[in-house]
Amino acid sequence: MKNWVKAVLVIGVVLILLIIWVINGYNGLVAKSEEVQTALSQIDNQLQRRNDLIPNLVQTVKKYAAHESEVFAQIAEARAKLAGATTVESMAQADAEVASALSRLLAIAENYPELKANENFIQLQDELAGTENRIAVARRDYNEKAREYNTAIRRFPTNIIASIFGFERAEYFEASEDARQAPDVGELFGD
Amino acid sequence: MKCMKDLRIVIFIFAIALLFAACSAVQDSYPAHTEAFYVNDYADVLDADAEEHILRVARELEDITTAQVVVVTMAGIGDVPLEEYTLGLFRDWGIGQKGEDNGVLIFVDVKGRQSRIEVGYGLEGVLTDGKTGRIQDKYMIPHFRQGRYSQGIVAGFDAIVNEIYLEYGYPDKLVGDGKPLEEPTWPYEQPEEDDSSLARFIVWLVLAIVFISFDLAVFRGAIISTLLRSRGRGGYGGWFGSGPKSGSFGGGSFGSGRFGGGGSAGGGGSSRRW
Repeated sequence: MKNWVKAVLVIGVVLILLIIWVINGYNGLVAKSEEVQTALSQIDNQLQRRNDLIPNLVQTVKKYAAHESEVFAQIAEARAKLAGATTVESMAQADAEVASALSRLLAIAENYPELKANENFIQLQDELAGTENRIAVARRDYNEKAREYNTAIRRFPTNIIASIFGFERAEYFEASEDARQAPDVGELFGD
Repeated sequence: MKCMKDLRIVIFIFAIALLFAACSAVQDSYPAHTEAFYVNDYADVLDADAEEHILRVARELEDITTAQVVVVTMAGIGDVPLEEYTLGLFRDWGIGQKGEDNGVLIFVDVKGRQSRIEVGYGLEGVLTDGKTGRIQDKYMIPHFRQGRYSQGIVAGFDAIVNEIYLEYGYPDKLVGDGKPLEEPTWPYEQPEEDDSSLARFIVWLVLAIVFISFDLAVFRGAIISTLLRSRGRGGYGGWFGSGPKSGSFGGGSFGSGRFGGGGSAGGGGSSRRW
């Protein structure tokens, strides 16, 4: 009599502890995955910010270098691709293309001293460099969060909870190497 | 028994207080900021007047607006890209208030001939990248080219402080006569002892006491000892041994020690080379 009451009590306590552990683990994973989403939307914000800068920049450059139509077309194309990107991977790819088209535009601007001295252009260049830098930061922050989250869902014993509730791996924000021709916008400020 | 408890409380309070003073020294990759916080002249290019001016103005700015403007000079940062380094430093020190992110870092790498104004999230609206670039072009770089670092940094610093005052609605507080490029002649006031950081310290102290007594009463100190142990430094000894000798606790210079408010940045600002 006494013995089986004890057993039931022990089992009950163990069960309750188990449930608490599952709830804790689950909530922890939800919080981590939310952080990943927040970091991703931060990238999105900055990409959008750059997108808004591009028309102004293109207009300014066009005033001095209207015949460089090829690079304008490249930028427009890359922009459209970025707007249509749905997965993290295609976003990263399109981001890299926009960045490299923009760096080509800025390289062209080097040939037009009047453009280079234009206050408006200098301002836009600063905004663009700042935005590229923000994108880089947001990308780093996102990948860091994604790494933490991915580690958590693979680590024992949390991985049991992750597989029960179907937590999926977060994709890293990385473009394939050939697309990422690092646009060193800062270089253009040098003397 | 009662006496033991009291002693433990005192020890914990000191551990917590030291933790707040020392939190920037835990990281090894960035230098710890000076006790004055606002001026960190590691390249040793600022003259005494410039340092005093920056300290006084930055302290008043924080007291009025809570925004923090921090000046750092260094002689070389190795192979790290400038933007990465300044952002890391900014976040490590936590420049600006937590939640407001209203900090600015003016960073000058004398050896690498490069400078950057790093802007916290909260001030990106007023200090746009374009504006920080213009401030450097107009006030800083021309001086830097001639090796006049004190003048350049003070002029750029004043311009930024003025932008922040205008943003927070204190047009009567502007510094540098609005003509920072002129020969700078500042009033040489002694920095006043300010009591707001003392007040902040007392608030922390009270909070710490409440927290610790609660922990001791309900959990028999379990939370504290877990916290201390989780730092992996072998208990209290590590705290006392490794923290910077902050001076705030030893000498009489109680009100002058300052530190970051936990602000963050996302890469806003602009860079220049000369």
